[in-house]
Amino acid sequence: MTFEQAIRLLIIGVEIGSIYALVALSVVLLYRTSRVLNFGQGELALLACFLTFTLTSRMGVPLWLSFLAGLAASAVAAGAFYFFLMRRAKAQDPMGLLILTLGFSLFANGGLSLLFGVDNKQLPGFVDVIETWTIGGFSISKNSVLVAVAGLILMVALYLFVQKSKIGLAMRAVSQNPEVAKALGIPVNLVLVSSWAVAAILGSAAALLLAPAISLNPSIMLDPLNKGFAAAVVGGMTSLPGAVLGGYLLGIIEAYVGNFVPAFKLALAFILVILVLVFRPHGLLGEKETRRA
Amino acid sequence: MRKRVVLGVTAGLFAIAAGLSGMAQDIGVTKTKIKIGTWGPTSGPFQQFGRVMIGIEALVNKVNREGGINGRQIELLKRDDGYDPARTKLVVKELVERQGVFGLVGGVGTANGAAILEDVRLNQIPWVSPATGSTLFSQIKDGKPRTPSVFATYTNYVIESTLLLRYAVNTLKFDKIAVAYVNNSFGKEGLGGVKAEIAELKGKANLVGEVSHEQTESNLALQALKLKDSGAEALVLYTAGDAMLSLLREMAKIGYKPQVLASSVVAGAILQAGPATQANGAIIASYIPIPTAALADGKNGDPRADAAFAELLKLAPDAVKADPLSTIAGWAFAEPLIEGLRRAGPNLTRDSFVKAMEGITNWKGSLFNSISFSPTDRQGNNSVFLVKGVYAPRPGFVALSGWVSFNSER
Repeated sequence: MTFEQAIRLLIIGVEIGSIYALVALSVVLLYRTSRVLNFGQGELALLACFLTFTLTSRMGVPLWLSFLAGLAASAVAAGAFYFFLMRRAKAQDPMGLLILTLGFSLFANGGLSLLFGVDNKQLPGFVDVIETWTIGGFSISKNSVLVAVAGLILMVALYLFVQKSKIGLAMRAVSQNPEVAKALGIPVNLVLVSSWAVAAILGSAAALLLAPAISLNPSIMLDPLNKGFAAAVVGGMTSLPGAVLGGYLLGIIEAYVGNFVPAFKLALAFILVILVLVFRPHGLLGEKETRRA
Repeated sequence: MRKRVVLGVTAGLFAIAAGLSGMAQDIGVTKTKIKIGTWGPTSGPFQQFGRVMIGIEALVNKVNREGGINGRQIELLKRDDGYDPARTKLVVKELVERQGVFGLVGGVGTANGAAILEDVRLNQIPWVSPATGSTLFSQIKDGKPRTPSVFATYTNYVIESTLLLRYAVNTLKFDKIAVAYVNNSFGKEGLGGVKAEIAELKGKANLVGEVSHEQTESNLALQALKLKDSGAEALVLYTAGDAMLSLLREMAKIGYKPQVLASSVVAGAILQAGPATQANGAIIASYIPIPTAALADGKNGDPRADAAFAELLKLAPDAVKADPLSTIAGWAFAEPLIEGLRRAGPNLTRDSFVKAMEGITNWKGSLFNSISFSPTDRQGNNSVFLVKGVYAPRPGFVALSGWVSFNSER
């Protein structure tokens, strides 16, 4: 492998790794606070994409405003889903809730297909997905840079939100012990609604960054969601930095391994998951879980 | 008196029997009706593929309006299988066993068709134009068709990829060829056609690159890089959907600009990749002529395709405008069925229909170039014509060649 090839593979890995990391962050954030894996994450992200597309391409609303509206809609939908369905479900065990999110995913996907159609749509991006910059002799696509930079900004913003804001502190408290948090007067429901909303924003941002480079249709989130889940497990289901590490690690390893053994590329994420579950079940940066009282 | 009654009744019974024998008919056929079944996805993420059924329905409506076939109207029963082979099996079982259809037409998808092929073979159900280019449906075993009741009209992927390669090598004079394919029967048959033809061309061309992807992959950045490293001048595409668009865009990102040659399967979608990609100038094999509506200059489309397009617009204007090629393909798929029913005459049985279809030779009455079947051949069409995808004056196609056929000179 030449040096140029190695750098190109690294760029590919970092770009797709940013998407995986954002999805993994949304998975981990939700898991930390609610102990739930949300299979409907992809559909919430699709809602943001379709709304952004409709506003900007069909109604002429500026892209940045459509983008924000898409993120907001997805956050509201996620919060409402938690508040009206998840919270009230009789089956509050993890399996019951998991099935509920699966049902929501199927229902929402059908609804989105019905509303927006299944044909490929071209979601505009903030930069031309094909244009490149030449840096140090390497041409790097503007979109790759945008995805990586936007990904990093969102990750830092999430870190600051969780570590420095009051609601972030409350999220951490709820994630450690919801009963004690409640006893201390923390509005647990508000915290959980916020977690669902923030998680939806992260997943939607990933989809909005990804869609301009491929095309928008109701199945585009299948692969990123699978990989995001895998990255979350690899990094540690309870660790936000772990999710970021897992996402980038998976993206980069996938690029190098996929280059030499293409047939291995799809299975790779799940091989990593198996290895992690066997040798380090709490993930690379996750903490060993203790059962809640 | 009693003798006369007995004689009269006997004569009447003979007359009915004679009449019945003169009007032999089969399952799904009455004096006034022929039941035909078709299926495709009209729900779920692949529902756009089901638009083929619009074309079939439009032609059936036209035939019925014009008096039907030998006095019988065609009743078309459409079913949604969601592009799921397990459901295809169920809906076709319902069409055959409950609805008692005479035969099938169209039917979208290789895996979907494969799921019912054994039942079709065992029950000898006539099936015209499976809506897939897989060779599975026209296989020959010991000099005879494996499934004698199936008549394939879609130019199969092996023939199609062979013709694309010949054009790249013989006309465009490229000798470094690469193939990008999806890891399923569509992709593998395309790859197989290219490889076999490269071997036939004996040194005139070399396969310098070969990349594949799984159906669920949507980011083909790695494959683009490998193709660039291969140095291929011409790239034959046997991939589709998001993956194809991703590949074309990733190639553009890294400045790789081979001549792209692509299967008819992507004709409806390739131009979505954008004018800065190699979709601009891509050569596409089409098994049906292009209507004016899909031509870049909006002029001089094929008159028969235009006539079909006008009929289609009456039935489903939005879907037809969104995807003229898939819907017109459905029209083309149904044309040989109608011809076979006509040729079978008033005494329509499954046997007489199969014999009538086998008798179709060099028939040019459909949108296909020419349809020929025989007792030993079930691949009725082996022609394509090549078009180029362009973006000016509007996104669409320009004709590159007349019809080219598999049996033409190398």
